[in-house]
Amino acid sequence: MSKEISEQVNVPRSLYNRFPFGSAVGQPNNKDQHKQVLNKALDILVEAKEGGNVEESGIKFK
Amino acid sequence: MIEKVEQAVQQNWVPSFRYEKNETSPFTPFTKDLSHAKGAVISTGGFYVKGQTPFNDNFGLGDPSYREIPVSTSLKDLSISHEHYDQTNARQDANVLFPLEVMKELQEEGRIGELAETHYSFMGYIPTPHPLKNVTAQEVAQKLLKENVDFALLVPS
Repeated sequence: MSKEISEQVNVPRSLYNRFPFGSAVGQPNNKDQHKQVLNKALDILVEAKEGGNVEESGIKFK
Repeated sequence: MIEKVEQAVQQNWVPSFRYEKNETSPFTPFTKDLSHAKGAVISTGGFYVKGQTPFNDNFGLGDPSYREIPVSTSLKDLSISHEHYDQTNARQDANVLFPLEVMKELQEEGRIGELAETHYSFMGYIPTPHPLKNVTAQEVAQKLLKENVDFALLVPS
C-alpha cells in the first residue's frame, strides 16, 4: 500500500512496509517475515497514543 | 503517486474518482490485554471461499461487497477475484494479503487471545465509495461488534 495514501486517508494506526503491491505482509511462504510484520502491527495497536500516524517498519522485502 | 492513480482511474473508468481525504482519524486507545483480546482479519485482496460468489469489477465501476471467511477455512480453499493488483504472490501464499494462518500462530504463541469466528475480505477497487461507507463497511463493523471483536487487522492489496 502507499504511505501517501495511508497518510491522506488518516487511518487510526498504520504500519508501512516498503513491499510490492499485492504482498503487504511479505514474501510468499516467509513465515518469519510475516510474523515480524504482524508483531510490529500489534505493537502499534497496543502502544499508539493518537491516530493518524503511519509508522515505517524498516523490514526488508528481500 | 496519488495523482497518477487518480488520473488513470478517471481516464479509464470513473471520471469523478478521487482518493478519500480525511482531516481527522477515528482513534480509540487499546486498553485490553492483547493476550486476552479477540482479533479479526479484514483484507481488500478480493478473497472468497470457493463456492461463494466472486467479486465483480463491473466494467471498472468496482464492487463494495464483502465476503465472510470462517476461521476454520483452509487458505487452500480461498480464491481471488480482483483485477487491479498482481496476484502472483497472493496465489502462492494467501497469507501475504490474508494472514489468517499467521494470526493462528500468534494465538498459539499467546500473543493474542483468540480469533473471531468470522473474518472478511473486500475487493479493494472501489472507486465510488458511498455504498462502502454507508452500507457494507458499516455492516462489517456491526458484525464485528456483535462478535465482541477487540481489534481488526486491515490488510490492503
